[in-house]
Amino acid sequence: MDGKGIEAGLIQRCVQGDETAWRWLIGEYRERLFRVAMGLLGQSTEAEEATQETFVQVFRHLAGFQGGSSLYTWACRICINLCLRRRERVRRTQQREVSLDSDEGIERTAIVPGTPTPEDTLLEKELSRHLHQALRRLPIEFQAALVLREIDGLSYEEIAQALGVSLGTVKSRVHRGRLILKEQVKEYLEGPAYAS
Amino acid sequence: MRHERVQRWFSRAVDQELSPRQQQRFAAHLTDCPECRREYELFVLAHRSLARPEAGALSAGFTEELVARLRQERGQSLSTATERDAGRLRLIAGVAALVLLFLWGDRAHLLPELRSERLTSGEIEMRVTPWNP
Repeated sequence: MDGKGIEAGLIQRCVQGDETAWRWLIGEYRERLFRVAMGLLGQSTEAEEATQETFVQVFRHLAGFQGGSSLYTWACRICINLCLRRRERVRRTQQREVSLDSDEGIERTAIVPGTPTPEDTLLEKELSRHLHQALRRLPIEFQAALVLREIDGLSYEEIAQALGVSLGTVKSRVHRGRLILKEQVKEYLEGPAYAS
Repeated sequence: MRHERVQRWFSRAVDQELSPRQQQRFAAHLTDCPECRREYELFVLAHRSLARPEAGALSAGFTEELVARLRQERGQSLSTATERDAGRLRLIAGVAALVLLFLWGDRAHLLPELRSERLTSGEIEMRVTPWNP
């Protein structure tokens, strides 16, 4: 039986209320969906709630799943929509001030490809935190594409299915998003070009 | 090779989608062009840093909490389905009862006519033969 057949069997068992099948599905997808939610929401509690809600929606509508994409891709789409709606709600009720980190305490070194040193690792850690914050400031369509590509590792075809857009659009969004974040890296390491 | 074209290849290089010939040209340009090389290093760093997982993890009880919630939802949807089925059965029983009533009522209406026809027929009069020793 191929992957599609296995998935169809799993779906059928879930729809029939087989708890073992539910647990298997949750075990398979929960970490990935959580990382996607973290990429978009940036907070563990929020991401966990969104992940739980994603599974609830999946199980509510599983009987109507047509199989046009993989089950995971479909779940991703649900997760992204939930996260984006959640962010809109938060944005309306909260004012969040996000600023670029200054270079206090962070030694900026030249980038030397090769074996990472402990300093490089610390730098990457801080940079990673900074970039994830910057990611959440990008236009929403770029965020979703980048999260699915860079964090979840989906193929461009899967991302196109998850977002309901063409392959070319996905590639363009990922590339443009990466370019913007590359500039963020540059500013973080070197400072803005206009700084005196 | 022009800088703009090389920089358009950054994503494809990171995704390992360049053909062998393109890879050669790309690498050759980066070797000769410090500006593009620097831009590409920053691009790779952004890509790598973003792939690094953020701090945060699902709570230990996540799965059990979720399963409990799904059981509750399932229990509610089961009740609804049972009520729907019971309603349908009641409807079918009601229609069946009406049909039977109609058929029975129809036949009952016919029975007295049949009885009266037999009484007035000659066959019954002939059955009553006078005894004549």
